[in-house]
Amino acid sequence: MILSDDMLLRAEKPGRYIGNEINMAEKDVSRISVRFAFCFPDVYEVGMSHLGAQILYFYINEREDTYCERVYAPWPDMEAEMRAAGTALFALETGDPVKVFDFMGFTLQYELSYTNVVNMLDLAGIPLLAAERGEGCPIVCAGGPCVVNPEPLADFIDFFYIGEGEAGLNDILDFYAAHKADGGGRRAFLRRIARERGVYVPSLYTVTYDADGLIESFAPIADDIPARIKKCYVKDFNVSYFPGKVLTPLIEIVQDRAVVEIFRGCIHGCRFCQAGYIYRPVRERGIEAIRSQAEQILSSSGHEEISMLSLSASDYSNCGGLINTLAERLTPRHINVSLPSLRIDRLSLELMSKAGEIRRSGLTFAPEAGSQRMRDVINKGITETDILNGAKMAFESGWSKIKLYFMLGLPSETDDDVMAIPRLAERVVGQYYSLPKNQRSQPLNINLSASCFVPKPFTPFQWASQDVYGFMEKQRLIKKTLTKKQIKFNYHDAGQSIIEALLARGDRRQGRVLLDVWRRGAKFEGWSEFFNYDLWTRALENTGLSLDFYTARQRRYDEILPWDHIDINITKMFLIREMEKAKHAEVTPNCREGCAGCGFIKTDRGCADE
Amino acid sequence: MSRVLLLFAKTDKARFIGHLDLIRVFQRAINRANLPAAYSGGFNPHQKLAFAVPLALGMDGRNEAAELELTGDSVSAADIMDRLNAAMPKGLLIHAARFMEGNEESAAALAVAACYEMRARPPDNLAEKVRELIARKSVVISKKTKNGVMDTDIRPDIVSLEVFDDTLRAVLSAGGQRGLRPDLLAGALGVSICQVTRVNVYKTVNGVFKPLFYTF
Repeated sequence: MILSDDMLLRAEKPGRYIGNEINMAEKDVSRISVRFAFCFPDVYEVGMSHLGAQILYFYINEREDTYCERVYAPWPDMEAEMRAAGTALFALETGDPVKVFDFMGFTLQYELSYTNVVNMLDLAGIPLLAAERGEGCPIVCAGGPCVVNPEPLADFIDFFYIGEGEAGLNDILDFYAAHKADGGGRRAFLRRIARERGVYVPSLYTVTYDADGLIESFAPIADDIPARIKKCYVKDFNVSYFPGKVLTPLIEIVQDRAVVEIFRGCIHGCRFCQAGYIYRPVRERGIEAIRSQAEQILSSSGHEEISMLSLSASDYSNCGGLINTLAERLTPRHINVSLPSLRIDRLSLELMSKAGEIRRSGLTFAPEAGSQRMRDVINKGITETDILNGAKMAFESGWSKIKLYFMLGLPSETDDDVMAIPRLAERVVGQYYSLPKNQRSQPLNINLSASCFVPKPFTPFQWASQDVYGFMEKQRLIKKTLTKKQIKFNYHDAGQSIIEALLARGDRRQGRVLLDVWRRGAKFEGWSEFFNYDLWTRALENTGLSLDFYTARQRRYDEILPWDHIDINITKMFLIREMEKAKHAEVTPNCREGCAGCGFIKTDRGCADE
Repeated sequence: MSRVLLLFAKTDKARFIGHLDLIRVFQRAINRANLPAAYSGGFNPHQKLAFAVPLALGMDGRNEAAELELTGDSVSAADIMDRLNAAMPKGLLIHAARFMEGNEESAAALAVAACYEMRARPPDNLAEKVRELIARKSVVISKKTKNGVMDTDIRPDIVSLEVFDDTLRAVLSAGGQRGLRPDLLAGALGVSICQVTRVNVYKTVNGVFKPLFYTF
């Protein structure tokens, strides 16, 4: 083992660093030509919980010539041990240092993990800046939802992969294997793959800024480099790659259960939700494929719970049939089927009762906004009556712990809209007490949670100003208004949301901020115990960049946005139309009710880009 | 219904799996092995699986005992062992399995003591320290308990101590009634130890310690 027993025993959780999980890939390194270090820039228990990372791990390991190993960010206690002992960042499978690998591939799931990317490069002993890396250094790449705006990390990453890994990563690895066998160098490799769909090599593009700091031009350095990078995506979700097994951890992780993805994409176009746009088009997996995958995963993992993953499970076209099929097979085997991400209606509650959810958990409702006007602005598509009826049905079915989730600072929000949040929560309480007393066996527990809205690229709100100066006052307003003791109000640190917004819509100049803030010790910024807002304001000051420019500033439609060269097949015209409708609180029907013309084309086999 | 007693070793990387995690690792191995595990009733059914004495994180265990209830006796003990071994992660190995007698007490109830081996780090005068401690009638240490720090006499929990070069072999009380952790003993001795191995867990039969697993 690369870490000594003493180091492991001093660590808070040594199980994070030992690998050895069930279904871990084991290969003879001497017979491998491509070594891929899959890096998750967060702690083990978070990284191991991520389905996408698991899919790609097995997908890459299907290749005989390639060995994909895993690397997670060591928790600060272990990082200190490693730095003191001079131990470089290593991969869990073989314990070999990351710097001997061919690739270091990061998955970017949330913006506040960016400082961990920089920190992991440093721990690996790899030059932080792409421009400073030479032959013999791993090629550093990145993928995941955040790379729809790759610019803030452009200085650190050799190439980005835009879209779904299982749709095209093999082609890149094929190119690399052939290129390496021919003795080709890294520059030539990057130049070659820059022409492939989904690949963005930032060093092959130049950007200029005007006097106001806006982007003046963005262009490739040569004619054979595409001006726009089209995302890769899986066309047919019934035949696309899905591993029949899962890495089953030996220590408890955040999402400690088996997971099957039932569909990708979302039929709703909630205007704040990036996932709702970047994962388009909607692609469903058939019940039979889901059943067979669920059984394979369960028998290879031994899990006692399986979760149906999607952005909105109740939109699965035959959700009832799916749950019946699974429950029939799995309940006798003491396996729970869980359904996160449900819209709360009668059908969903029935499904959850069937899946045995009541006894375990509370229920989450996400009205997102308090007033109907605000819900129409964000195109949430539910009414107060829906919410109150849903709550009533939930209480009648035996739930008494309910989480209500809202966002503060949505575009055009007024104090009246804010006040509607506690009012709605109190009406939910009222629903509970409208039940006869004998139906109220448990004490009522309402958890009112309000996060701060972060405008994201590729949403209709990508031009919107972030309400940086209003958050605190709005949190206070809610707190002041709440009187009922059954409601517990939770709000988030506005600072984290502001920095998230800075990075989400940042440009290349943010690279300097990341480097500076990392030098000041920033890491694990997504963890409130480590997040330090002051470090960011100092780093911004030092690099001469304005926080307001990136967060509070309202963009113009004709501005060149930092992510305009990324093509996720959603047209700007569509997003502008949606933003204009938002201004008039006008809703857009969901994809099943009518096509809104987002950019994908409707065909008889679902939506496609051509 | 039948009860199976498993004798297993926990070594190498598996020693960094804590007790609660170990329960999950066993449960999942039992599911992967497709054994007909019996479940408790109630709102949250769980496998009927119990370990004799929890093993501390970081410690090797050579002869640990766990008890598992199955819904029938259609699978032989040898099969149970083989199927579990095929499903276990590296570092966990079942060496023996046997069905328990109908009236046999649970392993957890029977366990009274355990034998540990640990290496002392130099510089030490281990033998001398051990001789001195053994000679004492009482050894009072401050022990953290649920109710705060309490002075406890650990001398009754020390059954025997033997020194071989830099290695200390200690038989200490262990199990539900009372127990002494080897690190607390090391603290009382004033030595720094590493590589702790629990060699065996004992029950008493007619006043004599016998390995927990065996019926003889």
